[in-house]
Amino acid sequence: MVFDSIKKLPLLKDYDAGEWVRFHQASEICRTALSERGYRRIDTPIIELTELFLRKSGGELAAQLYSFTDPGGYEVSLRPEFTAPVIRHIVETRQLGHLPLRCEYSGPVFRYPSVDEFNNGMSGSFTQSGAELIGSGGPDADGEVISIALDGLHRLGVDSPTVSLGHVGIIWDLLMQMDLSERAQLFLINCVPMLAAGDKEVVSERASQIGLLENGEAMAMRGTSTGASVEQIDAVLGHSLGSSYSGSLGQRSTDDVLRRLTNKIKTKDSPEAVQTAIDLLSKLSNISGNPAESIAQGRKVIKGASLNDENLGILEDIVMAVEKAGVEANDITVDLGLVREISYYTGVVFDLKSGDDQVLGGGGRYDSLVTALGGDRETPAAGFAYNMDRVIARSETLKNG
Amino acid sequence: MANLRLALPSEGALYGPAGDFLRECGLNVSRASSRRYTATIPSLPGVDVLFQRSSDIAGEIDGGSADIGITGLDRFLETHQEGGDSVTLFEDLGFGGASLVIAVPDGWLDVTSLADLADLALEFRQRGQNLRIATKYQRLVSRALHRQGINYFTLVHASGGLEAAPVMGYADLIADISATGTTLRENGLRPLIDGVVCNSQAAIIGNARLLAADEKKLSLTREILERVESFMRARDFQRVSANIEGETEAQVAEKVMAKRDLAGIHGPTVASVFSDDGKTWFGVQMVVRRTDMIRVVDHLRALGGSGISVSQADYVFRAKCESYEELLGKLAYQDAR
Repeated sequence: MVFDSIKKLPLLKDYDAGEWVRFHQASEICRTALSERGYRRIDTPIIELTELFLRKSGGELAAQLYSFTDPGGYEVSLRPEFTAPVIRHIVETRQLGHLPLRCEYSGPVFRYPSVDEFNNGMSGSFTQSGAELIGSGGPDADGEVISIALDGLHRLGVDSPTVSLGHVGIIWDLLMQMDLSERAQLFLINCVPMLAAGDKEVVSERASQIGLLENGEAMAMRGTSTGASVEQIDAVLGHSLGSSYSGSLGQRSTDDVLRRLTNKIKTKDSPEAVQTAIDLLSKLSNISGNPAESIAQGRKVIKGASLNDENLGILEDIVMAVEKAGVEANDITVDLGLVREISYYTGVVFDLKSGDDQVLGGGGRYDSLVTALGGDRETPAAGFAYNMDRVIARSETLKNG
Repeated sequence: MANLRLALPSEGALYGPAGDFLRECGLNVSRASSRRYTATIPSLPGVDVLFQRSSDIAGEIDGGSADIGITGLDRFLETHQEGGDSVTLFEDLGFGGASLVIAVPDGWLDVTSLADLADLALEFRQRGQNLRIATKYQRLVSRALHRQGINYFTLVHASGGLEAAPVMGYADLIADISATGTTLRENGLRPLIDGVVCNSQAAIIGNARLLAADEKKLSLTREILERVESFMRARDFQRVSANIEGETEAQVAEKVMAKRDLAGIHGPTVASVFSDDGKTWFGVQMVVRRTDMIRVVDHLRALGGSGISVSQADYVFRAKCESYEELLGKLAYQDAR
């Protein structure tokens, strides 16, 4: 009997002997560099409960999870990154009493590519090496993380690596200052990458589509296809007072629907405020380049909107701390439109780039992840990770083995 | 060599239209009786038609029990093995149009957009509940929801009669294919304003590995694609002919070409008319876009044209069959993998 040949899965790749040596060397270079700074290597299982990655990461990353039910009936996923597993490990093994902790790791992560990425030949897995500094906050801790990230790239043989800094805390703060609802804040922060790419029209269109650019009355009065009409409200409200509503509400009660509807109308953002926020974020997210100039420009834009620009001072402090930690001033740029796709970041975020501007990795500060994963105390933390497949392709010393 | 196995929907919304479409393309399917699950295409010997459930066709092609097939793009996107052997050969056949939409009970006055749903999902979560969504499209729906930041939901797999799920109580909302929204409305459901997960219509799909391995199958596939593509294109074009008085062919052609955009895709064909009325007439023929027809007629009238007639071309071919060329590209890509 002749059997069909069995192929590897289309989205994954094999590493041959030469490639394995390169990855092994690169991993050792990272381990050596980081251990000099007091970081200890840890490893976590490739498979974790799916919930670990949904709790705070969410969004695009959640859509890319390799998820399945394991033979024991657990809903699990292949890890798409290391940060959540590392924090899970530290919380679970009760190490929060011994802070700060310095951990580093290296291994495969799995992200199912989107259609576009797939068509561009993106693989479903790559090797990530990185480090986390848990229990240290403030600019100096950010400086440490960013400087070792850049130092590592130098040691890995990447020619003139640079770092581009942004700060999601600044954007959150501005949205809070503008007194927007949580719903609007979430919408707007998710739109920053689009605004940074110059797609302000698309953002405005989406905002009006979901009703953020119209007033509360108009929203409540809109017809059945898009909102609740007065007749509908009456139908549900009337019935809630007397007999039960004849339509289906699933697991929900009429009180629940009405409470949320009232709340939605009450907390309705003023369309002007939403438009102002879109304009502001659009301007802000297009500012990038030299740190001092970008921050000055940012201050001007924020003051122009009559908002408090104090928080930009934090970014200034971080830039200074990064320089103090040994990074050349020329290797630092600021990009006020940088928000990384993983939603647990709370402070500084950064992209690590090669001399020819390819993103080789990144990271940021995530001060609320520890408690979100069940830690019993507020714990500041920050980290970075490289995409080693990209790093090796750019490395002068490693790429040809 | 083996015959090309063409899978067609045996039931559902695409069953009738798929047969009609093939007949219009000159590929009439001859089925001995409606209870037989195999048929032939007399105008294209070498093709075995297999009637399969619409939802199974992508799987049949992945698994190699059929070579090509017609199914909804939605079913293909939901069920095919991504990056595997099956590929689309023609994505927009112009029938079977519908959208996969997320719809909530009418009474959920507070939920009109995905943002509202995200909010509600979090509240459910805090109460220890999960939003339950009934759908046949687990892959497409879960991806779309995750991309919107909606992480806490349970997909309830159900086939058929999804619209009743909220009333029957086994789901809170649904995600289903809808052509006009009527069925949703009649069942007390309302699509979210930004709730379209994907737009779909009937598509031709095929197993690239099997086609690449068999010249006969590939050649029959080319013939089908040629007919489909030229038939689809013919809908956009019309043949116009008229008689115009003039001195020479070149002089008439020049007059017609004075308005280049109204002078046919490749320019007019001009030939002498042998008439007995003592005048020098020339017959002018050209293929024009359907949307330009009236302007072309006006242009010919202004040149003194008479006997202007417009007819429908059955097929319009280009130098190459574009969808077949695309398929060859996909086969080469598969081969390189």
